[in-house]
Amino acid sequence: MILQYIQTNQVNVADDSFRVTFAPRLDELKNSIREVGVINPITLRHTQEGTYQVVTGYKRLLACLELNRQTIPALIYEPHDLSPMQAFLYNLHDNIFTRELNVVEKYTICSKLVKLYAVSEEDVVKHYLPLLGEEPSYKILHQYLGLEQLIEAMKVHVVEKGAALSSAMRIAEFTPSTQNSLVNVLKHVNPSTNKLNELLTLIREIAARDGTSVEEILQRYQLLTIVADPSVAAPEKVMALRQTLRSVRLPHLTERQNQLTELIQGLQLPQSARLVADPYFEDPKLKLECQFSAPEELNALVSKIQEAFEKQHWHKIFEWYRA
Amino acid sequence: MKFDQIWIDRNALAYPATQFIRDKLKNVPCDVVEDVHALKHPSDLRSAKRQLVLTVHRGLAFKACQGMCEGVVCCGYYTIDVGSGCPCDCTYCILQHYISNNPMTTIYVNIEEILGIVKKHIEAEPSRQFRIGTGELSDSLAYDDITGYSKIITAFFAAQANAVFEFKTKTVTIDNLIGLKHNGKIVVSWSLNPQKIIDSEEKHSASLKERLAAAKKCVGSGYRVGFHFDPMINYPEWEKDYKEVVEAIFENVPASSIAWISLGTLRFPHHLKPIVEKRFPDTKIFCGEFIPANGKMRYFRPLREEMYKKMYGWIDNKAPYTERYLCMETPFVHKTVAEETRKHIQM
Ligand code: SF4
Repeated sequence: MILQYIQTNQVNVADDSFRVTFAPRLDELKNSIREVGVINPITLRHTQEGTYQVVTGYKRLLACLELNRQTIPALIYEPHDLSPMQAFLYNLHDNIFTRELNVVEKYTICSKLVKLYAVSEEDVVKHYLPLLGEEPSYKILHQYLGLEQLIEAMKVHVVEKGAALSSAMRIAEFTPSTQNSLVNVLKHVNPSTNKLNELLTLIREIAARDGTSVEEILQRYQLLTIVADPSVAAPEKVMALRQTLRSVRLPHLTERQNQLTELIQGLQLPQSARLVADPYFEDPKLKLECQFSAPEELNALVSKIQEAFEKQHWHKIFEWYRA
Repeated sequence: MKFDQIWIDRNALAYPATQFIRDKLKNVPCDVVEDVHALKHPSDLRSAKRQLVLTVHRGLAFKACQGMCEGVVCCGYYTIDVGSGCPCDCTYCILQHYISNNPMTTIYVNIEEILGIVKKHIEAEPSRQFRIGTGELSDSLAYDDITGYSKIITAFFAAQANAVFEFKTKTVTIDNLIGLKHNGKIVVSWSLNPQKIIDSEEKHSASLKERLAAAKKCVGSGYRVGFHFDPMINYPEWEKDYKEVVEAIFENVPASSIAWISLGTLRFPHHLKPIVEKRFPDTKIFCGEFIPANGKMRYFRPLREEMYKKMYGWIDNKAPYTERYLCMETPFVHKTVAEETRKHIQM
């Protein structure tokens, strides 16, 4: 192994045999290189054809290329000194102990180990998943391998938004053209993992139920219009998206919940009292919640509640709830 | 069902049922194992169903129906385990989850010992009428052509004063039952669904016509029969389709021979869904309007009530005094459905 200054154009950047890094952010690194140059040499593997493959330091190389630097310090391995598998493991270890890997990078590692380097699934599960901070489980390995179906734009989206494996896996189940449409909606919002998974499930189930495409669902319910409105804050967009999809997926439940809200409002209860029902209408019991801080307050509250409950309306709620 | 392999627990060798089943499956390769538990591991359900384990039941073989959960009304059913696994492959089958760690077909060969335990229980409470069935972890008659258990079970219950036994099936494996002396203590029941649902969601089961023809044959042999609309599926044409099935029952079987008709709409623990979606990606059974209730996903209550009320109405139109009940429903639903049915009968 020797240290050399290599012409950056001699390195085959397109050869990603050992690469783990996906969608790197280079701005800070470029600033640093501009100021002090490349401090740590990258590692290259010389090929029989005379080109160089990147073993470690892919981001440093990319930054140098973007800065139009002609040379880069590199430690060079000859092919007989470093097998492809060893080179991949160098890259893997160089990355896993220096930073948090994103889901696409973890997918890349699992996929390359199984498909490119013929490592058995058992070995990946037992040995490599714990290295990636994952449970040693076949289920998790298969979930990562399933991300193969993600289109490039969606991979970038998933990484940028820090989506969890459970969400990425759900997205990967959609066809490439559906993912394309979804990316245009999802890029406007930043839901929590649970919310995102719920939205994806709702979209998928509505499409399956109505025997139509997800694209049609996105269009029919104007989901893009909902999320693209610049005057609405991101959390409200998620809420609106969820409400729209739930009302389509669960029409009877939503209608009934709206009716109940109206009926309860019609009671005109005092502000410090609240009538609560099971949101799914399974429990026949209704709950009355009151807040007070002194006996006189309670007295006043009780008489106001009594007034509200003397109305015919109150019985109507019961009858309606049981119907 | 064709089996690829039989595994015999060494402890099962001494039981007559073991030899009986081996004789029926002469061409299937067979190995004796010291520890059947060593065979237990998660594997593909379809291939695991083709592996048959003959073993001895040592646990609680007679118990109150396990389908119960908090907040639902119990119908007082007891079950006995004579095996687990099933040759049918219903989309909604809970066994996909229950026996996922041990998916091979299992038959318990100590049937006489199991029935001995049942005898002790029912004799201990002579004033109580027991309703007992198999079919919790399997279909009651699916393997009857190789076990012949229906003959043993029928002979046993025919002699019991305070118990009725129910065979519950989606097959037409009834040959062993025909001509047996049963003393009215046996009910042969079929789970029913519209043919459309049978085609799409009840793979490898008998058709609706075959099930009703088998019921008719059992009635001809003096049996009372039962029908279970369970799980009922809510889909756009459900009303027309289920009404037709109700009518088909009464065209084939006289109301006086019907022991009971039960209704239960589709419900499932939430962890069953990913298993089913993986095994049956085209299924539409989860397209309905489900909400979480009592530890399971169920149709939204007004939908369930509508289905039950309409079904009761159609049954009433044909034979208003037919015994019927709801399976695993909440007291709230029982009450609203009963109120509506009373109104209907009084009219
Ligand atoms: S017949 Fe019953 S036990 Fe058999 S697969 Fe269908 S639901 Fe499961």
